[in-house]
Amino acid sequence: MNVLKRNNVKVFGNGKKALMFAHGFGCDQVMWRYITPAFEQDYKIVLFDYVGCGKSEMASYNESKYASLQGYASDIIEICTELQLKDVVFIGHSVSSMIGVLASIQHPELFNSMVFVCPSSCYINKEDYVGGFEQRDLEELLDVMENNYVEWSNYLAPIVMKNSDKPELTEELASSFCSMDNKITRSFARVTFFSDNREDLKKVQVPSLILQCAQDDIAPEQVGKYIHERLEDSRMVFMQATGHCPHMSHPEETIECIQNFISKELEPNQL
Amino acid sequence: MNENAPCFLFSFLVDHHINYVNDLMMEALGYEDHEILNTLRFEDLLSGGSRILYKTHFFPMLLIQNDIKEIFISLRSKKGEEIPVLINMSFIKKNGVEYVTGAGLKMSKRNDFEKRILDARRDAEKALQENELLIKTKAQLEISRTLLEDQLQNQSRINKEQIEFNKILAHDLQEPLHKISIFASRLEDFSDLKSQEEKSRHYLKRVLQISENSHALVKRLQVYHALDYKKLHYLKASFETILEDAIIKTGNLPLEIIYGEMEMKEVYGDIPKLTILFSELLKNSYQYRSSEKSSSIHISTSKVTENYHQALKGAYRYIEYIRITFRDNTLGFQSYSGDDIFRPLQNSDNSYGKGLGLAFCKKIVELHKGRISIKPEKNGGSKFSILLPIEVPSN
Repeated sequence: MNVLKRNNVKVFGNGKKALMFAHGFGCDQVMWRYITPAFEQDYKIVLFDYVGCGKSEMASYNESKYASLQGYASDIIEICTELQLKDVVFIGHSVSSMIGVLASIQHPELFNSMVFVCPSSCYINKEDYVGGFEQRDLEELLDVMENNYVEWSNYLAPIVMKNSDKPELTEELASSFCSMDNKITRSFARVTFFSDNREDLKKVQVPSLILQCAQDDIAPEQVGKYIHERLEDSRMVFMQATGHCPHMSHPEETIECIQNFISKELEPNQL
Repeated sequence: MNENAPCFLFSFLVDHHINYVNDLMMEALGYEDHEILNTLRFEDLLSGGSRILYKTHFFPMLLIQNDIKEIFISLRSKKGEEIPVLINMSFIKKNGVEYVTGAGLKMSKRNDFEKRILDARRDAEKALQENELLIKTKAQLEISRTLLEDQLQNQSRINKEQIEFNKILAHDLQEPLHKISIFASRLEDFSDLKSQEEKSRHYLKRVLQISENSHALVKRLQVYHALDYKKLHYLKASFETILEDAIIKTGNLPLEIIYGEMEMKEVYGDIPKLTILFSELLKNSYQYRSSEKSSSIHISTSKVTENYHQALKGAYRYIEYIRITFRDNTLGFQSYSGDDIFRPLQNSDNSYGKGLGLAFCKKIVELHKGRISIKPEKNGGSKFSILLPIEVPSN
């Protein structure tokens, strides 16, 4: 199996130190496009799509592997191994934060440090923990996704038929960066929103940074603080940015936060 | 004009605050103007599931593509009713102002039909999928069985050879060495011959030493080799007991053991073998100790989840392991390249039989279906990571 093709891995940039960007649930590597130009000069940039997202190989989807976030974490490790990366700075958005946590627990030696953009250790409210969602909200999410698939499948159909006589349509499809496979995305949603990684936090051995947005009800502030308290060597930055996608809505601030972390926190220890 | 349009029209700013909603939509939502405008965010009008999808999919898409079409979401009215709508949205940047406009069609009836179609399709898909899975599994089973048969045959051949080989190690090789040392020591006894004695005594001493060392090495090799075909007897024991015994096994080497966080206090395994594992690790740490500080060992354990399948490609079964972290404050090794350090006689300092210690460790760990790795510590010393399955492997 070709790992690089499977995960549509893209490597570029002029530096030696590797920055690996991992997209969150719902999108693909394109979501980092406002961020990576700021780092291209000095770092090696590694981008990829999780299997089932973006331009990954849908045929590589393995139900038993991706039945838990562990399977997605294995992909990260496999990509690092394949590219012979070491001392990686891992930057994960949303669910990728916990995927990064799991990967770093398995192979701490691969990672230099981790940046978690809008992380959540558990989305569902528990007895003594407020994740922000009830079971019912998440069931509803799966329903809405399915309804959308009906519409999308109609307009994804031409791609299958290779309709080259309608270039405008193909162009539109090519730009539809959140393309996804319904079945896989449903199960990714399940795995993402029903997983509980609270117990894993204290096992992380690499230094980390939490980027907390304002008004982010998917990863609310109290969840960010919860994670910060339990991650041994972590820092937390409260961003001006609002919402759940600061790297897209507020790229400058996001870049600054990442740069500060890498240069101030990590340079002295020789990245 | 817009007010009377037979569809929902709305717009909101980049901070998501709504600044326009037409009459039809306002009526359906059941709010008054002042309750919404410049007060609520667009996502506040969405039902729980739709809000997640909007924030994880649709909003990022809007930012990248500038518009999204024919998306389905559920609005939630003031009273809490769900209003299914089909929506188009555009991200507009005009005269320095950035905002999002949208138009939606209420589709309650269509949604009901669609729901039924979806249910039917889901049932059909499920049946199809189960059938496909069954056929696939059957084919895979057949392949696995052939593979297993080959491996079993191979294994039994190797086992026989191993037992043979071990006999050679135990007798055919050890015996002659043993005899050489006996004869050499006899020779030494009556070499009071005065003249050439200095020289011959020296050589004799060498012969004696080499044969004793070789004897010891062969003996240790034999024990190492015998590990392979002796069955493991699983029992439970605490790490503290195992380490106490391991220290005794090293001949009470002066090592201080410090326990860190012990998430797992006990381990299930072949306890005598695990004791050997730790005594070898301890001996190794002592052998490479720094002359400047007293030797201390730091041990901690935690529970981790990893894929059980290492050899089988494409197979995944995530199970729980105990991870034992064993840190020492030695001088460390010169090279940590890959697995070399665990190979027999790799890091030998020419003292016979000593270079087998870490090979013992690796073999014992692997017999327990576990893994061992080593990493240099930043401020000197080595860190061994040992993974052992928490449950006994079923085979």
